[in-house]
Amino acid sequence: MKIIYHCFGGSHSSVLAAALHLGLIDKNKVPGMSEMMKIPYFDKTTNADFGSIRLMGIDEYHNEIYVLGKKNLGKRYGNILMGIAEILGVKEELLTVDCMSRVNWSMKIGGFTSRRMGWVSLGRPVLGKGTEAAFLDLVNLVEITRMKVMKKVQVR
Amino acid sequence: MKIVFLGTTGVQHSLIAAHIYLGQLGSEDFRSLEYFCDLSKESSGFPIFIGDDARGNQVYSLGVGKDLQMGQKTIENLLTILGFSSQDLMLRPVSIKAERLLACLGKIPRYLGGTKINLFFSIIILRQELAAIKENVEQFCN
Repeated sequence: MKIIYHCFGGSHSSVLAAALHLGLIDKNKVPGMSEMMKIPYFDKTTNADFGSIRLMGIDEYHNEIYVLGKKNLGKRYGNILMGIAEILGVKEELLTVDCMSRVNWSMKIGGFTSRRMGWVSLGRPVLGKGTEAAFLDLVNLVEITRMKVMKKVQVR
Repeated sequence: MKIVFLGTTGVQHSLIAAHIYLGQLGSEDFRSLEYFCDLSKESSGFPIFIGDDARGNQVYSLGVGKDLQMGQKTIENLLTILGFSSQDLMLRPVSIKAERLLACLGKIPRYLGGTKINLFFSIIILRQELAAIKENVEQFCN
């Protein structure tokens, strides 16, 4: 199965969720900024990456984990992808996960300042604080996703 | 094969383009087209099935929001990771000058008469843009 975590920039919440899914970071310990910066793509994307589906890794059940930045297109973007999979007859092969519901204002402001404005030294600390606060929410989202995947696989 | 006409919305210019491609656009009265300016259909985000062409290809209309290029790129990426190619699903972006304005019209709240305003102005704009839409379709057919 292909699992796509998506958020505004495909740079923070989706990347962190994908890293949690893949076990790249410990879900029981809130990571520090230096630890988060070791995650591939974390706070490193550019405007050219919007709309690109990037592979983060493969989980223990051979599911491919991807991240995507979709700007402010909301939940609808997930439906667009699911709709395309549906008309191709592979709906069961795809799961899209919107991470925006777990993003707080500090992450939005910090992420915008760091990525869009390019003021990394100003945005990154704000982003770090926001990410720490949202960490458990993201852990929860990933756990729900993993359950959904297991159910989907069992149904098949 | 599936053919998807992509627009900023799937219920205005890309919908008309799909009907032109199928030879189903009889008049300029777009209101007779199923799902024309149907905002609930648009907000679902799912491709809208329009019909089958003479070669048996299924033709769809789809709205991907104000960044058409980004939407196209994402769908092309998705096709690759799902193991498909343009032989299985062909994307045909339909771009017109007023596409952003059309997308904005759909954002007027219903309680302010958004549905009627959207329908009224969309028809006027799309009649003026019909030649450009036809040109988009002709380029695709050639």
